[in-house]
Amino acid sequence: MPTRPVAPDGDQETLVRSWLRVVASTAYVPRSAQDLAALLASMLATLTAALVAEPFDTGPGSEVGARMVTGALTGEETLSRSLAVLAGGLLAAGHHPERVVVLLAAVSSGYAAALRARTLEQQEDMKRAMLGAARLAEQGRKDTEYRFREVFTASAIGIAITGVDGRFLETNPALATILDREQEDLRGHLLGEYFLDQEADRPDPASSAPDRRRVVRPDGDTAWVLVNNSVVRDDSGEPVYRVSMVQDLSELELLGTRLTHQSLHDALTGLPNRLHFQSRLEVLLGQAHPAAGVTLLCLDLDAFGLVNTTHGHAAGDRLLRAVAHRLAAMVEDEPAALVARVGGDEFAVFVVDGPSTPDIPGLVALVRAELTEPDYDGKIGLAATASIGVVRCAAADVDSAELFRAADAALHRAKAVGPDQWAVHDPHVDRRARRVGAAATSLPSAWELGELVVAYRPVVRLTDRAVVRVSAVPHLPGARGALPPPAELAEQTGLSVALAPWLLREAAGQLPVWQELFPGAGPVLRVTLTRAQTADADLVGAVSRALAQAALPAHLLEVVLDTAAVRDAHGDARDNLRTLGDLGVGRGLHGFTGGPALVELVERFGVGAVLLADPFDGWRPDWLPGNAVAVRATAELIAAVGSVGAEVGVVGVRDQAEAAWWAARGASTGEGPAFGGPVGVPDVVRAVRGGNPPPSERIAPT
Amino acid sequence: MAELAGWVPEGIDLERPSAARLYDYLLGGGHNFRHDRELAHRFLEAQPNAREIARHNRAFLRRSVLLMVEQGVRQFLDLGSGIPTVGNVHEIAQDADPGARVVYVDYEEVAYAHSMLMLRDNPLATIVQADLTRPEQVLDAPQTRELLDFDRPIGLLMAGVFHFVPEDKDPAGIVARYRDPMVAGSHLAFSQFTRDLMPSAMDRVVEVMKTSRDPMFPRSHAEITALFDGYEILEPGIVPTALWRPDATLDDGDDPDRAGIYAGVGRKA
Repeated sequence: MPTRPVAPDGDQETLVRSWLRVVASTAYVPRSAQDLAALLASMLATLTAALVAEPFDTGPGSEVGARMVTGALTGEETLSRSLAVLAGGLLAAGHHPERVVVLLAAVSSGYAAALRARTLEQQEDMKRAMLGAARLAEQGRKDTEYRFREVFTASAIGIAITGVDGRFLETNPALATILDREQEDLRGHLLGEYFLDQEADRPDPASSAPDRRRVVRPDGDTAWVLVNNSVVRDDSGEPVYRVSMVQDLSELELLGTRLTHQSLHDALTGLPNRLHFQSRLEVLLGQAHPAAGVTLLCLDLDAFGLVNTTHGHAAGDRLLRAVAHRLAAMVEDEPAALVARVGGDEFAVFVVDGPSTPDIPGLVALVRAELTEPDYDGKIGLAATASIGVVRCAAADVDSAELFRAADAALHRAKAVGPDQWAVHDPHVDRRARRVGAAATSLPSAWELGELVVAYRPVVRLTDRAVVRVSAVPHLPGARGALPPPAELAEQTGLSVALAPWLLREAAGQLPVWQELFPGAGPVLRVTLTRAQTADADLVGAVSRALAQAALPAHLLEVVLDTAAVRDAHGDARDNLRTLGDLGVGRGLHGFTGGPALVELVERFGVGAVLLADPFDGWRPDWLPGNAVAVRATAELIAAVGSVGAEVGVVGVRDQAEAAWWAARGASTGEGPAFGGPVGVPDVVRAVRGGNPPPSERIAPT
Repeated sequence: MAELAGWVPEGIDLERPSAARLYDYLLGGGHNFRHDRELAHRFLEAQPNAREIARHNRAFLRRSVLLMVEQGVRQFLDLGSGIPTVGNVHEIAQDADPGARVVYVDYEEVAYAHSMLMLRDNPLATIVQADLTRPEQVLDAPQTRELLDFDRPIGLLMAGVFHFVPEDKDPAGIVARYRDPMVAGSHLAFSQFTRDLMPSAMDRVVEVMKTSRDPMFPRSHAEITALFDGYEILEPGIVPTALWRPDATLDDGDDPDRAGIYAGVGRKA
């Protein structure tokens, strides 16, 4: 029989005040005094209620401990001093001493557990932050290193990086040329060894003042050079490297003029190189009448590597010279034209269109005719074909970089088709390809930074529009514009394979929520996988792990695989389909186009659901005449699928009218804009409970 | 390239403790590493009140933000925001008005990456990775320009950060370059360590922090007052943090002079 407290509500208020003083002097709590007092009073009420409750239970004690942590009552001495104040106050109020002790011990352990959890969570945050920071730093480091490397190798000045002992760690090609030695032979030697005057080891070799010295070459010749030294120090100011720059004075003048030509022209063909071409292009564009048409062709020789490997590099070089010569001759009569070698086997032809300039097919035909004429050197005749990208537009509409990039993009499209093809730049296709490309390549970093989330779309039963499960999709909140969904973008870069285990794990983590929300018998969660994910050998493992973690029956999950991957037996797609069935997971196929072989496959593998590929090519089905052939064939497909025991689902349902149309044709489930999403878990739960569709994606305010 | 590994600038250096993570540790956070905690313990030896000082400074930040919200300020530029622990500016300001906008600024890589993570779902708060001693870098950052409207008053927060700015960086010029583009009615909340209150403890702290990547430069009352040039200093003036508009019921009876930090808020005329 517990002692009844002498004064049950006793000096509750006084106790709160004492506690408040303790908290305020030991912890920083981001609230007003009033809020803090209310929080403490509520926790105290929990404790006093627990002290007189029958049966006695320490649960509320641990709960108060945890609330102290979430409320940031976590100064170093906050807990011990709070417990002292509470013990004093509760005992004075006449509570059972043993209960007070046990309950406060529970506060203490609840506090410890919550603090530990919070610390782990914060350390986890830090780890992710570090990862992000390291990635950004690594990128910056790479850029710097790349720029440095460019300067280092391209410089006409000899550069040596030496250790503090003066021995070469790294030298650039120019230094080897100045010293007239092989670059590999320099490693480990001292710069001083190559100087004539043997005062090489002067007291201050790291002096930063330029120094005139004479270099001795292997053949005994000497040459004057100018040497500059500088020292690289670490954070603590200790020298770690020396950098020596060596300028060849005798050749300097000569070099100056030669360099200009060399750096602008390709030595093999004598044509302008890429750099020179771009600056000339700019000049020509600037000189052209703004309304004048300009044409740029980018050519990539097909199978040039084959010429090199079968006939030798000399033959390859000869072919390149022949191509260069013929292209230059071809535009000789054009008043403003330019031919350049812009890459190993890439050439560019630029023309400011004149009255006699042929149209694009005509121009391409001219180029091809020139290239296919064999070039004989007595034994073999070599000819080339090329992939060609073409841009033609008004001079005022583009700058040189944009023009070059557009021609290059067209060239890529031509090459994608096969050898000896040509393509004209299509600004629309190009713009979209660039936007999609940019989105696809930025997806991995978005994922790493936690910006990519799993969101859910309701899947409804079409007969009564009741939500029966949810479909989990990767989602990038706030993504603007008409971009393909993240799953499709990830497929382009190969990220999707890595994404699948994450998607499954995150989605399965929410299974308890869906199980409670959809008490029926069928699956409650649908995960749709892409072609690459469907074929991945680790898929079954990922599904099992996700299920094991959720510790719920497999049939709650429905995994929808890519029909084409299964049809083509791509990778492990068929094994995956079979083994998932063995696990008891619900299985579906999406992008289902029908046909006897596919329907047979559904029966053979016991697939539970098929999601149709849009049979109407984007047209609204409810606007098509009922006797249209596509409509009739679809009805037959639905019947055929039903006859082998699978249900038919549709995706991308636009509105209720479309949903009604599909329901009337015997389709069972639907997802799509008509039913909302993708949104977060709470939004789905709220919508299902409220009987309204969840909002479509929330757009962040600008 | 292997032999060049040490030759090019490195990214993050966890061996070197940071002030942001030290502050987090003093406030009871878990966003810190062994080297930060070691520095914190040496800091605590030099200045046993460091935890109270951190707490008072954080509380000053909160009260000053609330005062500015009361004065109609709805956008904040928080310089040297560090690792968000408890009671961050966006939480305080958006709690008062969900439309409040906050731009955090920190130059430290980990603080930046961490804030990015914390703020990813908050469209009205963001972080700029920049050095606060280069105001143009901060003010011209696209994130700043996108979120803050310079035709309306802005709350400029420099809480517990200016003691990292050495004299040779022209502190008065830095404050002025932030002040000039902001309209009248903008506010400055400022707090920093001083030698005026506990000289010997301060000297020990300066010594300890010399080894970190953030050495410290305490300033006198007169020096701090001078930084408020162009601002009308609001009551009660430049005072120890605990004395700046204290929340009466939370007064913990500590000797306010032991706060070690001077604080004040000014309004641009």
